[in-house]
Amino acid sequence: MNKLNFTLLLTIIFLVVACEYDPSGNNFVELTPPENNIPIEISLNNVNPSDTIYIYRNTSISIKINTPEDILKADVLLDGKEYENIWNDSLRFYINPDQLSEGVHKLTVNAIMASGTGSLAEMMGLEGYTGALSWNIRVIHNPQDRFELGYRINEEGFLEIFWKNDVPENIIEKYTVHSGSTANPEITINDVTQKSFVDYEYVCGHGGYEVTTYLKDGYSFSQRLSFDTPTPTIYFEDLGLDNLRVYWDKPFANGRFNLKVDNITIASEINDTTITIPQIFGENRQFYLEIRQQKPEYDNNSYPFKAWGSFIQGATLDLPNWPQYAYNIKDNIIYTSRYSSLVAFDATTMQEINTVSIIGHPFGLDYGGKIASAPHNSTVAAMTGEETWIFTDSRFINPIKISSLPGDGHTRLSALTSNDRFFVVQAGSNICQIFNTLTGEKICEFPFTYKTIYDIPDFVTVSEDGQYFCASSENGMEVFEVNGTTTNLLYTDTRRYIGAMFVPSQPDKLLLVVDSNIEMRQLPSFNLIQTLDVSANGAILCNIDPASMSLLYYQNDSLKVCKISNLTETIFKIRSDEKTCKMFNNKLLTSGNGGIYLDINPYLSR
Amino acid sequence: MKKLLIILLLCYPIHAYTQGLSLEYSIGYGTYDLNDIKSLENSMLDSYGLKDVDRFPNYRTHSVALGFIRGRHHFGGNFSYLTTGGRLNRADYSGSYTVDMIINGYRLGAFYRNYINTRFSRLSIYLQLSSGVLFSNLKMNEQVNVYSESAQETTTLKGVGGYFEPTIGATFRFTNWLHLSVGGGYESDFWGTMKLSGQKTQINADWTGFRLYGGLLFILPAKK
Repeated sequence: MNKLNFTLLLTIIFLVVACEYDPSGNNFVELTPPENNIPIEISLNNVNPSDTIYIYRNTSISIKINTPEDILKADVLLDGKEYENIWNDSLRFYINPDQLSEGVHKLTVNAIMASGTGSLAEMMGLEGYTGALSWNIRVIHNPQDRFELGYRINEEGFLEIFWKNDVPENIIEKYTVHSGSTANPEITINDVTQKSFVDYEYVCGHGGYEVTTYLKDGYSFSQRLSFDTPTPTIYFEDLGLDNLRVYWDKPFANGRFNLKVDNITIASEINDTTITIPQIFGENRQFYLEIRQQKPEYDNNSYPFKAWGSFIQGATLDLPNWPQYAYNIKDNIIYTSRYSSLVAFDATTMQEINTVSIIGHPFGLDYGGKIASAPHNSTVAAMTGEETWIFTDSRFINPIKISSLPGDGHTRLSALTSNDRFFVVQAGSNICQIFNTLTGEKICEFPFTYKTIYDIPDFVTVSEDGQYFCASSENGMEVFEVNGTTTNLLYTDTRRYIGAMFVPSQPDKLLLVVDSNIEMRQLPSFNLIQTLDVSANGAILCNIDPASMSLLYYQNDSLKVCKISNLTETIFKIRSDEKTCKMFNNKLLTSGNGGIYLDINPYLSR
Repeated sequence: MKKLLIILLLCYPIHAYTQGLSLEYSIGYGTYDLNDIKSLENSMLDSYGLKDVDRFPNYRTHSVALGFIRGRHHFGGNFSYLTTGGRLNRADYSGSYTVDMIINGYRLGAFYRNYINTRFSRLSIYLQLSSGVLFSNLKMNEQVNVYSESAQETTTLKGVGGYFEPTIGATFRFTNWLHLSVGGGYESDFWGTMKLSGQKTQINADWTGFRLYGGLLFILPAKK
């Protein structure tokens, strides 16, 4: 019975548990399932998704989503990471390029729309529409700093300003080029594929340019370029006695050149940078080069660059105009004057040996007369505006002064002879004065008939030994023999003389220019030794070089040199306008133009 | 089969036992207050379109009592099982969302019953007082099926309270060991706060309501 009761109890408990309430009923709502697809329109700054958006400054991004259903959620993703949230159908935000790395990024707009059915799935977010659209954005940091300007010469030789831009062409509106040197100060380039500008106006010197990039969104940035290229320098190449090549640096860009020499145009509108012109001795030639644009249509009158240069054939002793010269063959010294100073040069090296100032009252050597040097010793005499100074040698010490004997540029004769005498014929005078070079005392004087009105060449001359004296003029001549303090007339005639000089170291030979000949006469007979017909072109005697025993004379447009022993053979010839040159130790010396000298030895050896 | 059993019972020799052990099973019907539970269900309404399609209706009860009868007195212990539930539901083409809330009450108590004889010797009226503890268990089962997605979550709240129930009823004696019993009472609950994962909530499991019973009383006579 107890088992029965227990069994009954278990049965009751099972029944109780099995009888747990089971809730029932449902709430099914009839709804129409959504369409598979709905149109969704996502726009971003009206940029086609196939295009790239360039971010180079704070850029406003405007997103608009058009859809027939409610937008549940929309995100803007940058490289897959959430960047912005969109809470309605539009969003505007800014992208700062400094916050992004340089390069290409992907900007994606994701939108989730409700299905609009009201279903349980929709309410739980498990039903709806999604739409996504992506754009490539390329971040460019500081494009203005990476806008590079440069300059070069193009294949045609003109200046080309070129630039390199990190900004792609499709967002560039135009370029402008501003140049400070061009007539048109601003040039607009609408063809953005063009990345250079040829400035036909630039040749050399300073160039300043500013190129501005205008982007289609109105943003612009500029870069400046400034540079200097050298203005051509004129150079000279001595091509020998006859020709001189003048050339100059090619300017940075093509140019057109005008070349003037001493205000005379010798080359006009040339493109070449070299020209060969004839040489001329005795002038400091001034060259002026004008550099202009090669294309005349781009010629800017305010533009031309200029270059100057000077050239002398030979070298200069840096003397003032109209210096006097004398030569001492014993010491091989050329004496000359420099303002108020007496200067000694080595006749071989042409280096200055010594100088002494001879100041007078008021003129001194500044306006002094001729300089003379003895043929047998080192004595040198200089005639100042007030007196004559006689030095024993180039040390220029303890001069003997002849106070009553001034000289000037018109002094006809100033010569030291080997018998220690100083022969002087002053300007306008027909008296020859003889002084003792050792004491300065006057020995004697004697008159002559024919005095010249010309300063050059020498019309009055004395032999080196002081034995013969000749005074000539256009009206005639006289030759005297000097014996002590007396004179004896050896020869006279009335021919037309235009120069006379005794041959150095050959005191019995007299060189004359008479009528249309150069004559060499033997004294005391006055016999004709040599003659040279100069009737065609005439001739002006310059001097006889005691060192080389050569005669320098001017004929036509040249200086000519011939041996004194053979007047007919010209051994050297050089084009020159200098008629007052001297030659000592084969050095041509000009009286004008600051003492230009030229050593002719190299040419003689040829 | 039922008729055969009744006939057997009626034909069984009848002995009157005035003392013995008793076992009683009753099936009944109860009304349940459960205001807090219903409020909990209300709070979930309209979420995702949920509607209450089942709302804790009155429902059957099952009771078992073990006791001892001596004369007019009958006392012992009893156990009752109460159950009801509610449902929130929303369904459409995309799927369904169901929240089933099933609350069970396990009532364990003691009773005292006093019989009053009537003129009809087989019929007795009784008055009964019962009291004890009531264990409540609310199981909330959420089930979501949307397209191919599904999820389920079960939450359980438990509570312990007390009850007091006066009852009036009658018994009809088929034999000395088998009585038919019917009755009705009113259960009043107290305490009964429910806990979620051991934490008290503001929800009370209040099963207060009327009770109707009908069942069989088995008596095991005691030897004199």
